[in-house]
Amino acid sequence: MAHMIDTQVAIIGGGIVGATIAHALSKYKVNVCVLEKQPMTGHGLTKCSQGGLHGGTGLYMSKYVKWWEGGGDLKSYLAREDHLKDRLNDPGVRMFYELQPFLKAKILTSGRVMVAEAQDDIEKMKIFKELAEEKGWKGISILDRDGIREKEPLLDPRFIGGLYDPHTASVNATEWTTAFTEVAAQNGVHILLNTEVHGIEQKTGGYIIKTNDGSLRAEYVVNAAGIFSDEIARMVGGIDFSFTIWKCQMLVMENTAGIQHTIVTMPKPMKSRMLYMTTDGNILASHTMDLSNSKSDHSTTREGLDLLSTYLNYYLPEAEFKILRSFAGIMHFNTRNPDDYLIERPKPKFISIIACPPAVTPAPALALDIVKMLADEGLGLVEKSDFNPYRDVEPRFIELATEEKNRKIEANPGYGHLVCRCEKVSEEEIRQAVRAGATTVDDVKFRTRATMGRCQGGFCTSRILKIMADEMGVSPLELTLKGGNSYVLACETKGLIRGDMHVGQRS
Amino acid sequence: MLVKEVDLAVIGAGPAGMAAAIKAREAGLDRVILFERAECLGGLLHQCIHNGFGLHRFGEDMTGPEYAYRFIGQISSMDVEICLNTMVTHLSPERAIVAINSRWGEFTVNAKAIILAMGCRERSRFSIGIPGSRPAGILTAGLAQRLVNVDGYLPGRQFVILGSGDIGMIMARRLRLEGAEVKAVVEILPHVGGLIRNEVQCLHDFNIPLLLEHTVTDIYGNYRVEGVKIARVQDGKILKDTERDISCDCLLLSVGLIPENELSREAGIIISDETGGPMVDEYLQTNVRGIFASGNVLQVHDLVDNVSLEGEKAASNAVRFINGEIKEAAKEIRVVAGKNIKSVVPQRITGREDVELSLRVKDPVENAVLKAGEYRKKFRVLTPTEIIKLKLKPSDFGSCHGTGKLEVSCVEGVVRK
Repeated sequence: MAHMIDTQVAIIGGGIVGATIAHALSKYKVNVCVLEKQPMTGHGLTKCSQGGLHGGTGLYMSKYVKWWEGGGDLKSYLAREDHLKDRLNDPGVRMFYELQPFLKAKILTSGRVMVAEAQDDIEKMKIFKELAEEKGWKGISILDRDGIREKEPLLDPRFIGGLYDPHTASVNATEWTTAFTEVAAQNGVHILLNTEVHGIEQKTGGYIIKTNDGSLRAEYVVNAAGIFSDEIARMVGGIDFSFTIWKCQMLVMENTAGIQHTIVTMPKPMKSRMLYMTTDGNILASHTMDLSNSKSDHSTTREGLDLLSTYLNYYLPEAEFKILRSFAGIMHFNTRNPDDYLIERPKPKFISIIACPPAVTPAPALALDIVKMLADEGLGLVEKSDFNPYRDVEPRFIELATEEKNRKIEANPGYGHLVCRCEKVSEEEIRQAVRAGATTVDDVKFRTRATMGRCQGGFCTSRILKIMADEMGVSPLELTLKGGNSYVLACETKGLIRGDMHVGQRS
Repeated sequence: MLVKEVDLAVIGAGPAGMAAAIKAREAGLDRVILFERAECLGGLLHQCIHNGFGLHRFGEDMTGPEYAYRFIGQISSMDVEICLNTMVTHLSPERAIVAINSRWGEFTVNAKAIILAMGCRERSRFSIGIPGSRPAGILTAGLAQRLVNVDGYLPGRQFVILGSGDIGMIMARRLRLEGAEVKAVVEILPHVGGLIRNEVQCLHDFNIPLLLEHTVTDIYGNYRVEGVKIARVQDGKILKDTERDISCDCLLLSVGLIPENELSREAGIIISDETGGPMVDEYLQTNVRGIFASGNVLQVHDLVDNVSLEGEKAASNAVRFINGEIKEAAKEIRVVAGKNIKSVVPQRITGREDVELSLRVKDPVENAVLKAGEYRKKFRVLTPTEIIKLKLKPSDFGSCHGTGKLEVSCVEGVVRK
């Protein structure tokens, strides 16, 4: 960005919220830029979200915890929809399913078994069921001891029954963010990566946004900077809230026990013990909760990992799982209205979205609200006649039928060379990820699944670096894991003896 | 889809698979196919540029690539169908293999016998549960070895190595020779995980600090590793007040090898909890008839020479199987690990032939006596890092035929905890 860019709408933040807004705006004849500080979209808090798509009774899980704190009549409390995030929940779920054929990102509808230790829990589950049915969700059932074990045979016999909800699904929020971003970009939205906002000035007719890489003039600004949205908001005026930050550790496990559903229990305050099915069939043990004072601390702790390993035992004492990976996500709640999103309009044509969990499920519906708000502020929305809603992405090679595989290999031998053995990812798919814009090893990983399996890249990392470097036309020394100075390699052999400078020091 | 019919299919062209394919051809099998996912034959031998290979087998001290080329040279002059850059994706109990490569696409191979020789993989940071951040600069020692010795890149400048497996110790020396700083090799056990000769030649000779009964308890750094926290470990417990930080930009892990048996499991092959490899009989045959296992996929070996020997043994038996010379036993004898024995291979025997047992002890022991049936043998020192071989004759099994059980125990000796 050597010279000043002019745009109508600047969206700050390329997470799930910013990406859905960019996608929604790309249908219109509007000039839009997304500013993302990382070298890829969807790799901030989006990446470490649990990925739950809360259809059916899902909405009531977090509300139930709130009820627990306040008391009163459970049913009328749960039925209240005075929070924006609650109103957007079901429309958000529906939109994910409607968009799926266009965006070609995965939804795994595994359903959920919610287990009960006591009859009292069953009574509450019946209320969940009633409320969800009133909203049109079908197929939810209350099960007895045998019923839940028919769904999940390895469940501990001490659970007396539970609720089965077929509508619980998972998405990979990063994959969806990539999908929203790609469709937005192919319809003219500019995605400015490695672009960090340092300051915003209000000027006649709009805002000047100063970044690490030049400035940008925008008529409208949408602040979708996630956990950094308070800092962006502060750039245009005083704010009266801060964030309470929780670090949530999770374990990803190979599903060696063959469980079929997400398994949860009645949530308790500060205690959410879930076994979540991921879109790729792994199990996510989720999650611990520890107050944190850092917006970027994603480290795990010994205590956290130990606690997570008890979750398995809690539900499935006989089952064996193999741990693939552990990580920590972050949940942040604003201090003014901790139970809901804040949509702030501190200045004309400036909208701040201060989201809180769950941020993924409502995101596509929220995006439509934001577009409406922009229109109310004066943004003219004329539909494009040539809007292309389809994302140009190939299905995973290994999942194709044999004839299809062989047709592709014949046309392009790179498909026949499987590089990542655990996830069975071909050389051609890695090259395609690079051609679609991936510049980091993590981005390639999230686009292709290469290195996500049980060896965590032990075999294929060396090959992937070579293929990426070749496709990008750079030296492997230039490649990073996730931007910044996360260089994978230090120097060539004999480089230390020669006194070579690190590639990061050279530039 | 291409369908091929073969006598023998060997999965994996490392030291076990190459030896097996050669032996099978020498024994007269016509149609032998060898699958290798990498771009050349030899498996991990190419990155093992240190010496110490071939002492037993060839009476010569060779490097890994030199050892590999002995076999590559031989196999190239034979009529073996070699499939490089080929990933086997499925294995069925009916001995049908599905594989993918650029030449034939997705294809099927039906084999009269199969030898599993997929080797092993390294345990990752996550599977042993090291907490901390997830920056660049955390990798397994074997990956680092590949990057340095084959690709020509150093993954860091200042290293801490967790685990004192052979690859970890060998990489410590290799990195020191490259001018990198190796701040410490950290081992949770009171003794090194690899061979004593590697402790001496790779660590002591290069003044690389070895911290026994220590482990890594945290990892720092957001983008790139900035340091690790280490602590003393006593009786499996981390001593919190001994924690201290070491700054480094790379953490290498040499914390154990896992036999690569995902294909085996798919075919219904039973895997031993002790070895991580298939349960086999004295022919190295798994519970699925006609599928044999050899090399590190069966049990993690300490010497490559033995890996090749095992490959040849599996091949000889596969040939006998194809010729109908291996009959199912009416009653098998289970081989079980007794006192101070960690693992034994094979796990079951017919009792009608000579048997070579491969075993590891749990704790180091001096002046030991190992007993198996009527068989007894004295050893001055036994350590868990070495595989011990016992050659038993049918006369040693005596009463085992009645009980159906052959227990292998360390009956005498002074255990060093």
